[in-house]
Amino acid sequence: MSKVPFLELEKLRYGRDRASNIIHQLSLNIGQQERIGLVGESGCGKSTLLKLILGVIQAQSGQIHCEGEPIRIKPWRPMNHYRKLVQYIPQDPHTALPPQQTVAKLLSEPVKRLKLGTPNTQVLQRAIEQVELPHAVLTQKASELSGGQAQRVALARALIIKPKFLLADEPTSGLDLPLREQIKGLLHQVCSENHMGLLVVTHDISMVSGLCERMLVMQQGHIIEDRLTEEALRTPNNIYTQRLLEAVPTIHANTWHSPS
Amino acid sequence: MSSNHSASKCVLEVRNLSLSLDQKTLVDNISFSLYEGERVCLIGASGSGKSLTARAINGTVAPYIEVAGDVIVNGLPVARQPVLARRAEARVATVFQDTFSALNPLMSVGKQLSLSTNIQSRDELLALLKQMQLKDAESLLTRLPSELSGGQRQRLCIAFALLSGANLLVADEPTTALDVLSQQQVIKVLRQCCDDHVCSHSEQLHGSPLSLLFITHDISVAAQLCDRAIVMQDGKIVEQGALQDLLNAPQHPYTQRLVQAAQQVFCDTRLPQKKAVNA
Amino acid sequence: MKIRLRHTLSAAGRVLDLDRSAAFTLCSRLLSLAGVVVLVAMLPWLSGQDPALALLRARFSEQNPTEETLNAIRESLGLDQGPIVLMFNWLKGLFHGDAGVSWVSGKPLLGDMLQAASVSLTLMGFALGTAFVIALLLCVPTIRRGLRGQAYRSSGILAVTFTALPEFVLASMLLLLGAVWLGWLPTYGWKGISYVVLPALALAIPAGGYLGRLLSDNIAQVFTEAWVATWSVAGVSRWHIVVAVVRRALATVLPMIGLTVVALTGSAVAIEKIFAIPGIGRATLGAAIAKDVPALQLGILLMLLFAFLVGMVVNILKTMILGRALRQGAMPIPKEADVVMSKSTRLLPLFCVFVLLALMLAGLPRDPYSVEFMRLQAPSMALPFGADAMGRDLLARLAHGSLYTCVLAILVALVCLMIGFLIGQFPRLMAGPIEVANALPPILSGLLVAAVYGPGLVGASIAVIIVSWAPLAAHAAALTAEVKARPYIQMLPLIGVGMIRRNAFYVFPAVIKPLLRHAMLRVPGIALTLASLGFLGLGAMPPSPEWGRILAEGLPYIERSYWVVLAPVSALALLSVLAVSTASAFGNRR
Repeated sequence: MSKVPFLELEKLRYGRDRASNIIHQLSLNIGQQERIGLVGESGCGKSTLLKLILGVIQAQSGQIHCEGEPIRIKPWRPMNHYRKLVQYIPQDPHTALPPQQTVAKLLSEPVKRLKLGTPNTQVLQRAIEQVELPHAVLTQKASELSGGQAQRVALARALIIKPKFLLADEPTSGLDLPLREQIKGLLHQVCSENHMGLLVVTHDISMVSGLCERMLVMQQGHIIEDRLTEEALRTPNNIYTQRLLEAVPTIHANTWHSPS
Repeated sequence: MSSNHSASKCVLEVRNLSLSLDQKTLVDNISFSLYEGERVCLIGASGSGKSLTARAINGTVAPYIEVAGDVIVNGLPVARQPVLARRAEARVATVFQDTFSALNPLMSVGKQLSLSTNIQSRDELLALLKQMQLKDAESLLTRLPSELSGGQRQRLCIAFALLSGANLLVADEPTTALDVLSQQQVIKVLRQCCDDHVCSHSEQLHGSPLSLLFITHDISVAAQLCDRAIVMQDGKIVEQGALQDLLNAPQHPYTQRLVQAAQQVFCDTRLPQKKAVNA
Repeated sequence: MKIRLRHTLSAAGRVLDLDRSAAFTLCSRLLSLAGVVVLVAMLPWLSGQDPALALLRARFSEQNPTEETLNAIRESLGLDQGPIVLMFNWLKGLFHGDAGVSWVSGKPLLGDMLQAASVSLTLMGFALGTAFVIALLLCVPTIRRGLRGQAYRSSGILAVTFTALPEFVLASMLLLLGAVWLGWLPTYGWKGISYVVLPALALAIPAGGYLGRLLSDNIAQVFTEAWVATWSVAGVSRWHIVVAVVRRALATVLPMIGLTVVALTGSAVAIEKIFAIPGIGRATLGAAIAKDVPALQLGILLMLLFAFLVGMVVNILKTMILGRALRQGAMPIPKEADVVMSKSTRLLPLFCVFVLLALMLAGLPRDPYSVEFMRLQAPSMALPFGADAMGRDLLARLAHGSLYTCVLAILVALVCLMIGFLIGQFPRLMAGPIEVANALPPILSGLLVAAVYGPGLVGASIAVIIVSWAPLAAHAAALTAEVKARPYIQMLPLIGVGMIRRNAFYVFPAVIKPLLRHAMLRVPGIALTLASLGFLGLGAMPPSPEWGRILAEGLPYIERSYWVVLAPVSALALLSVLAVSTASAFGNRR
């Protein structure tokens, strides 16, 4: 444990007003290249936690350290150093990409703004190859992309910054099953290739078990379970996690003649 | 399976149904039937025309969409008939994806439910809510739809659907907008309704069991509820048959992809537990 | 103890947090209301003119205007004490039932004005009753269609056209038809029940038609909502469904009903002028033109009071209809209607533009100013529209007037767009002004501006701008808030985009396009408002060929030669068809 964790969250508190707490004195350490799944009911505060870590909203109290250094979060202040380290992919890629911009334009925007060099064709093409899309996509407008394509473009925009850590907010909830599996596979691949950590917020247990070694369960602003995925799935520590696991719609084992 | 069909009554028949908007075909010449007591799911990606088909069946299709072909509910042709113009036997109970617009936003849910002519007493109402596994029914009834959670609203919509006494229930992605726990509850309630409920709304249909048409994009949700599946892609039916067969021997490429993905999910979720058992 | 205290404090804090925005809006509202009252109170000072000389001539015509006597008059009016004292004296007087004396007649004002107000209220009562009957009649077929499951929007072009006519145009038409051609009803005056019919109809048809259309569109929309299907399948009776649908539709339309009733006060000014009814509108208009500031003050104050009361009544009704749903903020906005657009609806605005262009082409080469013909010469091949009371070519005047009105209307719309966009960036701060400007009938603002600035084209434009920026600002505010809440905008800091770049490159382009379209859609309406101000003598001055002016100049001759009214009325009717048809053909597209 001598190694400094990549992200340290220390007693974060966030609420709409003084009395209600969406996030309640939450502390959490995230290691380098760790892959974590965060599950919970809607309204448990998991998306808010994600936004806090991303620094688009500001906690009322508490502190975030990144690689040992405290991060002063002020939404709409340039924090380019932190931005280069932590990136995100959205829940609904269609609303998360500027609809009127071409893919090339929206991919080059972060390169220019965060001063990562010049966004020449080569850079853009490499980014788009990484998410297994054809080069032709570059000239399309974001609004013309299909759901799966748009999610890949959103991923490409995050990867072009070469972050060390990726946060994903229910990245597959709007997609149908085959596409979900594709995106899951792609996330697995890019995280391994780029030595990237991942925190994925989801209500899809299969996403966690297929992708993440560590699993967090959140309820009413608290983390109530924080263990290795395999253990947590095998012996859930509390009744809530248990219910969450049972609620996952999977086909009954008897249905398959020969499960592969 | 097919021998069963010839014996029991046909509740819904869709014959050469096409729906189009400005010369663009959205649903292309589809035909299928639903027999008494059957639970059928209509699976497809978004944009495949499955929800539009549901709208043509329950009579909520928008006026600017052109309808061709036939929809026959309990023997009555209703393809172009809006729900308000239909006779009672041809009315199809519906549960919508958007639970918020499915209930009147200005009236407490108790008052809305008691407006139905099929509710005689308050006890009956409370019994209905209990059947929907809604706790704390008394206080629930005084609330506005906006003061309830999505899962509660959806179960109230199912209660409304049952009040009609119709023998066909169309559920249009009823769980898509809900989180997993509410999703599970809604499915449980739906399953129970199909098991218990018998039709009551006319002499002619009295005592017939409830049939279900379940619209979804998630084959694993469908598998918990249905025994037959119809797969749609780009407005056409590409495959249909018993869900069991479909899962084990999918024919069409789209179905194959669907099943493969479901299998992957199955493995991802169950393997750690299996490993535990093996260990 | 300590814990409990902290608990109470935090609970109070929560209430405060929740109510902060509401309190903010309320503050803005009260402040802007107070602002209007202060403005009215300061009118004598703002108008910047010295009434002493005029007063002297009017009251004591035998006296010489020496500096001494003039000063004595100024002193007696309190004009030498500065604006603040003047304001407080006026307000204090009001509390004691003294609204000052007329600068023209020297008589106390309050009694006469209240008398006039009661006449106006009678007229208004008849008009409102008729308007509601018309609105209900328009809704009945929609409800019947809705119950058969065919929820279409109304699209009767004729009805739309008829209800879209501004009151002063409709009043002139009714006068032509009912009093001149048919001779059934009296033309001018206020002597008995038969005198009420035409003015009340002129007020009620546009208002009732507008409300009826609005309500029936909403009813048709509500009939397509999913809960109607849920209810009808669940065996809820048709009667209950209709009541619930109407209630839901009414809840949405109610604020518009309030605005329409308030707008009637403005229209009443024109109607009272046309039919020579001794109401408060005519008295105020007369005061504005004669620069009798105290009378103008009182007239405007009474009209504002009426508007305020209507607003209160509407709010009470809203609470009654919505009940708990209002407090919950649970009123979902009905979705944008699926409008079935027939080809003819799309072609209608183009047709109007075509006819207007033809009119311009035919009339622009002719001379609108020179007196070349006989007075009131009848139409002929050489003189298609006839000549006016001075012997000028009406076709030429109309064509030049259209150029006048249209160019001015476009300029006004652009200025409103700019103001609207800027103010739309601070929606909460400006909630009050937006509301006040929205509720202020353009004719009232025209009266105010005329009092301060004097009648004229510039004054009329300012008056129209004062009321027309508000809908654009509200739209801009809503758009900006919506755009800023979009996920891709919210996440911009992640890719290093700062606040300035966000506003300039992401928010602005997304907001300006729909806003520009909205502004252009308002051009015909603005042109009509300008014309109505011209008609009342608050806009363009003679001899400029402005449409409203031409109509007003022709009106006294209506009984002898109808064409002096027919030509400008037709042109204005065409413009209003253009206004309504463009709005409905292009306004709903997103």
